[in-house]
Amino acid sequence: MLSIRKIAVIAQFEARILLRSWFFRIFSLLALVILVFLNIGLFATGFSRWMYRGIPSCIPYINFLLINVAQAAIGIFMASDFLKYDSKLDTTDVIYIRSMTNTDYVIGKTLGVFAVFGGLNIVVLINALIFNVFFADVPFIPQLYILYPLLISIPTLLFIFGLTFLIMVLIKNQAVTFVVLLGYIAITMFFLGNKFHYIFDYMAFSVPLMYSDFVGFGDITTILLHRGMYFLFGVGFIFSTVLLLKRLSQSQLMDIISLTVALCAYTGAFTLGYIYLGRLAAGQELRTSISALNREELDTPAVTIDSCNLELVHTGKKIEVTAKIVFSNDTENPIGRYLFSLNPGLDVTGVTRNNETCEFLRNIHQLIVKPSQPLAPGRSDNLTIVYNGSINEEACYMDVDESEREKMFRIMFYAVDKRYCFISPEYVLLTSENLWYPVAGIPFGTEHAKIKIKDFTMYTLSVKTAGHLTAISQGVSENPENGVFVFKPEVPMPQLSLAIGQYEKLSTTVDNIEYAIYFLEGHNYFSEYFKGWGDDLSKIVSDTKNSFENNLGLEYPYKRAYLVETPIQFIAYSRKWTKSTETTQPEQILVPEKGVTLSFADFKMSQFFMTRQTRFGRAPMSEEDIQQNMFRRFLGSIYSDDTSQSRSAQAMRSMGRGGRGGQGNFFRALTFTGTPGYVGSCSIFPLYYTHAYHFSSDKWPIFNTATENYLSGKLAGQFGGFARMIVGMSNEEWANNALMKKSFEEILADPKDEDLYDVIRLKSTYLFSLLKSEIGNNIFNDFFTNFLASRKFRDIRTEEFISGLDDEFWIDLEPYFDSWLKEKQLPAFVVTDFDCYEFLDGNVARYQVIFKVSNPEPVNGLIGITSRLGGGGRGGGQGRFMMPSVGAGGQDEERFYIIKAGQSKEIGIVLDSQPRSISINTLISQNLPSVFERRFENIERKENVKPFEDERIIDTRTALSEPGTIIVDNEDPGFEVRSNETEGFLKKLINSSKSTEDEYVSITFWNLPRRWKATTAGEYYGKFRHSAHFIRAGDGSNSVAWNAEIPTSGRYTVYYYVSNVESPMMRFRGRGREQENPLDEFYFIIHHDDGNDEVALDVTSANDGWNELGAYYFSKGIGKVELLDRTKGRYVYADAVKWTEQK
Amino acid sequence: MNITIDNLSKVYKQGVQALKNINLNIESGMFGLLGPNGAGKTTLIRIMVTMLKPSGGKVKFDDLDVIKDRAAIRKMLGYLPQQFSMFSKLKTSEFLDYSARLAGLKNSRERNKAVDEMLETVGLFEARDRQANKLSGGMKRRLGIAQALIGNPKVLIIDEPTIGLDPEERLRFRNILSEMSRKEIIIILSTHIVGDISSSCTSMAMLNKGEVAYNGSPEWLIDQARGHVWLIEAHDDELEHIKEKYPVISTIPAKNGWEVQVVSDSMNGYKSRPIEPNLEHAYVYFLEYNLGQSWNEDID
Repeated sequence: MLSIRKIAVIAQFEARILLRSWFFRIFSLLALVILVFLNIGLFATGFSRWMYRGIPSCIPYINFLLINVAQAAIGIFMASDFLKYDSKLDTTDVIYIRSMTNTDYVIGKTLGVFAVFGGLNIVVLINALIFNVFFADVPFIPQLYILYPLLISIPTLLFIFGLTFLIMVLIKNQAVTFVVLLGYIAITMFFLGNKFHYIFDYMAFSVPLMYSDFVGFGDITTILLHRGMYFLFGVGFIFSTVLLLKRLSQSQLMDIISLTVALCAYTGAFTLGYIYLGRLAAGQELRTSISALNREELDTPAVTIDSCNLELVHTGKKIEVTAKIVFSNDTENPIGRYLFSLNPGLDVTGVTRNNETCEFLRNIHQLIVKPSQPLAPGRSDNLTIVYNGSINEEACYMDVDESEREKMFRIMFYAVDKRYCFISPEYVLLTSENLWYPVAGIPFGTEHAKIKIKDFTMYTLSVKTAGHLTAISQGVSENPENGVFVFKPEVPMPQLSLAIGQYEKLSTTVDNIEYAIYFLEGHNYFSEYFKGWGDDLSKIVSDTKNSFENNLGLEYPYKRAYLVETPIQFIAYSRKWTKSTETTQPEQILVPEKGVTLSFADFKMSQFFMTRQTRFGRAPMSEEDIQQNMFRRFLGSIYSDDTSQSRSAQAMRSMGRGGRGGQGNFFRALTFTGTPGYVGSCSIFPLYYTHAYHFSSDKWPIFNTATENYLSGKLAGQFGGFARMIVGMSNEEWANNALMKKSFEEILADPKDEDLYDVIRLKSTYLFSLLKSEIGNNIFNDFFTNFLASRKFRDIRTEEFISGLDDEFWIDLEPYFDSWLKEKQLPAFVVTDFDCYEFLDGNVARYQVIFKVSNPEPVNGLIGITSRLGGGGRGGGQGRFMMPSVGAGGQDEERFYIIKAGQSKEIGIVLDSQPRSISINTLISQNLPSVFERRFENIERKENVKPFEDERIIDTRTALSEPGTIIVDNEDPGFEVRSNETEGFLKKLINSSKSTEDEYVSITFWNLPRRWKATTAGEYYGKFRHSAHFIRAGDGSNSVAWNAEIPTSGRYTVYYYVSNVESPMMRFRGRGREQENPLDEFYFIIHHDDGNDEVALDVTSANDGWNELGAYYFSKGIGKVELLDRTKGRYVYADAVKWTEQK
Repeated sequence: MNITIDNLSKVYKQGVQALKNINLNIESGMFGLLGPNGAGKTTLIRIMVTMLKPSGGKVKFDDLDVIKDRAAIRKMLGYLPQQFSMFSKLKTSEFLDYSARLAGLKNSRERNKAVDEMLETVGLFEARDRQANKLSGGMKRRLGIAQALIGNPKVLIIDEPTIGLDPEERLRFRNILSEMSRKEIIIILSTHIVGDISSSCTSMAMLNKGEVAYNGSPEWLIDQARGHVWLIEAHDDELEHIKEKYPVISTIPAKNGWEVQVVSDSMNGYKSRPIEPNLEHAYVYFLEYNLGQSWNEDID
C-alpha cells in the first residue's frame, strides 16, 4: 500500500537534489530579480499606467502569471531530469530494490519537484505581498494570495510535470523529450494559443483571471473547468508514469489503484474539457437559433411601447420582475400578434391583460402573445408580464462577430473576462443589451444590424434588494425604505439600465444638473487629489459643459449626469453604426472599475507630472491649479468624441497587438497593449444625441448614423495628425481608399468592412458639408439645432428632415442622397497658383489669399478651406476673423466650395489678420494627402488691388507639365520597384500581418522598411497623389526605376524632384544630442544611349523642387533612371524624375 | 534462511537465452557465484534482487517468491550492483542516510548512529561530508557496500565487487566481507575473479553459458585439480611452446629462465613438478578439462 513515510523520504531527497541544481538556482534567482524590478516598476513607483496597477488583484495576478510562464518552461527541464538520472545513474538500482511501491516512488519524486517549485512560489508570493502591503496604492486582499497559486501554479505544474514524466518514460530520452515538449509549447503558444477559447493554454496565460472588487472572478465556472482539466490531466499523467515506470511493480493492488486513478483523471479531464467547449458551442448554437428566429420576424410589425412599469426583486443570483407595459400600434396596419423579446435566461411565468390570464408562446428569446382581436392602428393595449431568472449572456450582442467574441480582453498581461451583465447576491448590472425587460419586436442582430425605429418609453422602475445595497437607474430616485428604490424618469427613455451594489455616492448640482459619481465602497481613490476648491469645481463643470455644447450645438437633455463604476469585466462592444456603447446609458456613463481604462483618471501620476512641470517649468502652478487642471483634463476626456473605432485608433492599438503593421500572435499576447478594445466608450456624446434623438427611415436608415457622426465630428480635432504620422494614413485617406473600390452603399452592406467606420464618418461630414456649402454654415447650424430641439425623445422620420429642408431652403436632398450612397468614382483636386498678399482696405491692412482648383474627374467634389492665422512663427499668434463666427484659437471656420466635374475655379479669401498657411481639406477625393497645407512665407503688400472674396469658374485647366518634358512620378505606371530583401522567418512571424499594395505608411525612425514602401506628404511631387517611395539605407541591391516614353531622340536634361519632408517621427531620435539629418547623398544610374552613368545628388543641400542630374542623349523609346538604396544617410526616397528636351 | 532456485531460466527479448534451468540451493554464509563474463551471473542476480522477471522457474527466499512477494523480499535485501559510480548531488552521509531511510530505519537518532557506524566500518567516516560523486573508485565501492549493509539485510547480494579496484582496496573489501560473513545472513558474491571467492566462500556455484557448471564447495573443486597443477622450470626457448600446449596460470621469471604454472592431466618432457592447487588452479582446470574451453579467453 501507499506509504506516506516512503513518499516523504523520496520527496525530501528529490527536493534536496533539485535545490542543489545550479540551473534551478540561477533560474529562480533570475526570475525573482525580474519580478522584483517589475514590481518596483509597476507598483512601487506609481508611474506605471493606472490600468496596470489600479485594481488590487493586479499585484498577485501578474506575479503568479509571470512566474508560471517561466516555471512551466523550466519545469520541463527539472522534471525530465528525474527520469534521466534514473536511467543514467547506476546507483538507481540500489534505490529501486528497496521496498516501496512504484506509486510511492513516482509520487515521492513528483512531490519533491513540486515542493521545490512550491517554495519558489511562496517566495514570489511573499515578494508580491510585500509590494502589496508596503508600496502599492491598492489594498491587500488575502484570499487572492491563495486563489492565484491554486488556480495558476498548481494545475500548470502538475500538468507539465506529469506530461514530462510520461513522455520521458515513453521516449526514454531527455533530448527528444525536450524537443517534443518544446514543440508542444511552441504549438500551443503560436498556433493553438487563442484557438478553441484558450483550451490549450496550460500556462493560464490567457485564462481570464482578473479579479474584480465587485464580483471577484468574471466566471469562476469557466476558470475551474479550465484549470481543473489541466490538474486532472496532470494527475492522469503522473499515475500513468507509475504504470510505465521501468521497475518491477511491488504491489498489484497499487497498480490497479494507479490505473483506476489515471483513468478517472483522464475521464474527468476530458469531461471538463468537453463541458468547457460545450458551453461555448451552446452559446453559438443559441445565437444561431436566435438569429434564425429573428430572420423570420424581420418584417413583422412591432408595437410601440409607450410606458413600462417594472417591479424588480433581486434575490441572490436571480431577479423576479413584473413588467406592466402599455403599447400602441403606430403602424398603418392592424397587429394581430404581439412580439416581444426578453432574454432567454428569464422564465416567463405569466402574462395577464387587465387581470385576465393570456396565452403566450415563449420561443427562446421571443414572447408572443395573441390578442383576441388585432390591435388597430393608433390603438393601445396593455399587458402584465411576470418573469424571473437570470440573464443568459450568450444571447447578448447578437450582431457581434463570433471571432470578435472570442478575442480576449487583455490589459497588459492581465486577462480579463468579458461580461455583459451581472446578477449576483452582492452586485447587479443590467443594460438594455441584456433584454432584461420586454422590448417590442426583435432585438438587433446580424440580420437586423441597423435600428429602424427606436421606442422612447416612459419607464418607472421599483427595485427591492438587500438592505445594504444601493440601486442606480434613470430618473428621480426615491428610497422609501431600506433596500427599496423607485425610479421615475421624467422623460421617455430609449433604454433603461440598473446597477445594484455597495455603492457610495458623491454628488453636486451645477446649473440644475445633478452630477454624481457612484463608486464601490472603498474605491474612493480620487477625493484626496481634489481638496479645498469646491466652488471652482462647479465652474469647471459648467465651463466644460458649455464649451462642449457650443461646439456640438445641442443641450444636455437630462437632469442627471452620473458616472457609475462597474466591474472591470464589464465590457461593451462598439458598433459601427452608432457612437453609443452599453457603457453610455441615458443619464449615466458606466465607467470601468476604479476608472482604470479611462484617460486621465490616474490622478497620482497626473499630479506628479504636473508638480514636476511646475518645479522645472516656466509657469509655476499652485497646488490648486494642479488640481483644477487634473479635473479639467479628466472632464475633458469625457466631454469629447470617442474615435476608438477609427482605423488610425485601431492601428495605434494594434502597434503592440498585431493587426495592420503590427505584430503576430505571440507578441500580441506579450506586448503591453494600449487602450483595450472592449472597454466601451466613456464619451458623454451619446447622452446628448444618441439617447435623446433618433432618425428612422426605411429608405435611408443610415441617416441617423450620419447625423450622429456629423455631430460628434464637430467635437473632434480637425487635424488628427499624430496617428497619421505614426500610421502613415489618416482615417479619411483610408476611407477614400475604400471608396475608390466600392460605393458607400456597398461598404455599408458589409458590416465587417474594416473601413466602414471611417467611411461612414467621412461620408457624414461630406453630406453635411455639402448642405452647408449650399445653405451657408450658420444658417444651416441654426436650422438644424432648432429642428432637433423640437423633436427630442421621440423617433423622427428622416422624411421630416427632408421636407423641412425643402420647405426652408428649397433643397431636395433625395438626389444628393442617391449619389452620396451610390457614387463610385471620386473627384480629384489639383490646387495651384497660390498667392497671398497684404492690401489696404481703407486704413486697415487686410490679407488676400487666392488660388486655383480644378477637378479633372467626371464627378462633382467638395473642398474645405481653413486658414491658419498669425503670420511668422509656427504655432504662433491669435487671429481675428472676418467671418462672424469665430473658430477656436488661430484658425477660422472651414469654408466649403463645390468643384463640379471637370470644373476649374479661382477662389479668393480675404482675412483680417495675416495668415500663416491655409489648409485644404479635399474630403472625399483621390488626393493624397487628403488634407494638405500651403504655407505663406514672405507676404508682400500690393497697392491698388480690389479684395476678392468669392469663387469664380475659370476656363483654363491647371496644368502641371510643360511641353517637351516628360515626368514620371512614383504613382505612374512607368515607376518600377525592385526589392531583393527577403524577410527572415522570425521577422515574418512577428510581422505576420500583410500590408497591401495600396497602403501608405509613415517614415519612422524605429521601423524603416527594408523594402520600398510608399508614403505621402503634401510636399512630394504628384498631380493629386503626393507620394514617394522610401527604403532603409542599404547596399544598393534594392532600387527603383523611372521609365519614360521618350517621344523623339535627342539630348535631354534629367531632373530629380527633391522634397525634403521633415518627418516628425524621424526627429524624435535627435533628443538629447545633435540633430542628425537622416538624409545624405542619393545615387542615380542614368541609362542613356552612351552607357550608364552613376550620378550622386546630395539632397540635403539641394533646393526643394527639380534638381538637375545631367544632360544625356536618349533615343526614341524607353528612357530609364534608376535610384539605388545605397546612401550614407538613414533612408532614401524616390519621388519623381523629369526629362526636358534640349532645343 | 535458505534461497532455492528452481529451474530458473531467462530469455531476453532479442532471443538471447541468458539462463537455462538453473537449480541452486543457497544457505546462510557466503556463497560465491563464479563464471566467466557473459555466463549469466548478473542476470541471475538481477532476478534475485527483483529487478528482472524470470522467463521460467522460481526463486524463493525461504517461502517467499521473488515475483509474488516482491515487497517482503525487497525488505530483506542489500544489494551492490556491478556498476556503482554515479550519484545525484548528495553527500556520502546523505546517500547512506537515504538508503537507511528507504531500508526502514525510522528513528532518526538510531539511524544517524547506524549511518555513522557504517561509515566507520567501511572507513568513510572522514569522507562523510564529501560529495559521493567525488569519492575515489574504492571509496565508492565501500559506500556501495555500506548502503547495501545498512538496515541489516538478511540477504546481501554483491555483483563483481572488486572489479577495477587496486590490490589494497580489494583486500580491504574482502576483509569487510569476511567480517560480514560471520553474521547469520546469506551473502551472494558474484565474480569472475577467483580470489574474491577463495578467501571466504563456504559454497559456490560456477555458471557457464547460462548453466550451472558446478555447484558445491570450493574444496571439492580444488580436490579435483589435485595432481593436475604443475610448476615447470622452463628455458626461454621453451616458453612459447608451453604456452601453446598448456593453459598457463602464471609465468614468473626465475634464475635460468621461467617458473610456469600450468594445469594438465599429465606432464611430459619438461622439468616439472606437481604443486598444491588453489581455487584459481581448480577453476582453470575445471574450465579446461571439464567444460573444454580455454579460460585464457576470459581471464582479465
